[in-house]
Amino acid sequence: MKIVAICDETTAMGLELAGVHEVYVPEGDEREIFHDIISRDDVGIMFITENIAKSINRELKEFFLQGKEFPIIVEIPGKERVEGYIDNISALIKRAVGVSVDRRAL
Amino acid sequence: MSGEVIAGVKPTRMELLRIRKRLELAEKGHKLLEDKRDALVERFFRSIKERDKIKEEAREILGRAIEALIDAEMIMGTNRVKISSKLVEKIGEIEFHRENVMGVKVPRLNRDKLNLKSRPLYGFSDTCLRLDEAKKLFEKALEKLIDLAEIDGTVKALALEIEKTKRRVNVLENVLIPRLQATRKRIEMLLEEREREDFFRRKRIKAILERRNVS
Repeated sequence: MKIVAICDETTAMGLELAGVHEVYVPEGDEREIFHDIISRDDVGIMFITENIAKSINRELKEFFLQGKEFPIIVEIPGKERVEGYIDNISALIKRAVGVSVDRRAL
Repeated sequence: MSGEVIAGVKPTRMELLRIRKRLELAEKGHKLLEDKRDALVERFFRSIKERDKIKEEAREILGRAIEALIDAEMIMGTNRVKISSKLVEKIGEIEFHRENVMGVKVPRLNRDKLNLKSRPLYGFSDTCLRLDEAKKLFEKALEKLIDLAEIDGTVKALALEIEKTKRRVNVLENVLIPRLQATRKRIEMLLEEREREDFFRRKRIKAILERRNVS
């Protein structure tokens, strides 16, 4: 399977340098790209930068609720970091445990 | 709603036996599910701890990698960086197999097919040192990100399973078991009442018969 990334231009270049198979830099069409990718079955991992993830948050949440195994979506910080961004896996953890898990508590 | 008596159950001894059996089974299932939930949560916490560590590392390396790349962009110009970034070997096929963690299928990556140190195909004469640095850092970051993806998959699968188990435990604990208990109690009471009626009837008949014999 492949690794795919949806990200800003700089991150895209960097990930390509590291050998990621396909990178997409959306120009306002992130929704279509996202739907295209999640409906494919040859994608194992999908990276998505935080600011793009934020703009399609509803779709992402929907995807996480479906409980589909692949692609595994990883939210990464892009060139511009989003302050206080909570990724969907962390939100899922919070829901499963009932409280936000503090590392000090472990 | 919880203490409701199950509708349509006739107060007979047969039904009582059946309800008792169901209650026993429900309690056994409840205990098993509780154990499963606790084991899953323990495993889940371990995964979360690992995930936080990897996530932190990945973010840190990625930040440095992007800085290096921006430097390279400034030295070489965005277009040449872009062209160079296309001239890189791909990391090869990623393949997952499934591992069983307490009945939950979690994805595990086959790392042997990965080619994380991909050879650059761009020329050395028209690129700069910072680009090579950026490439190295991004490779490192990608390695961490792949680890993160793997553990994210695990955490997700575990979280969904925990939620499902929790729901089942709650249904047993708050609905099914109280209902069965209420039904059992009601049947027992009705049967006792009938017995008392019977007992009294027999006494009464006996008294009547004795009176007749005497007279």
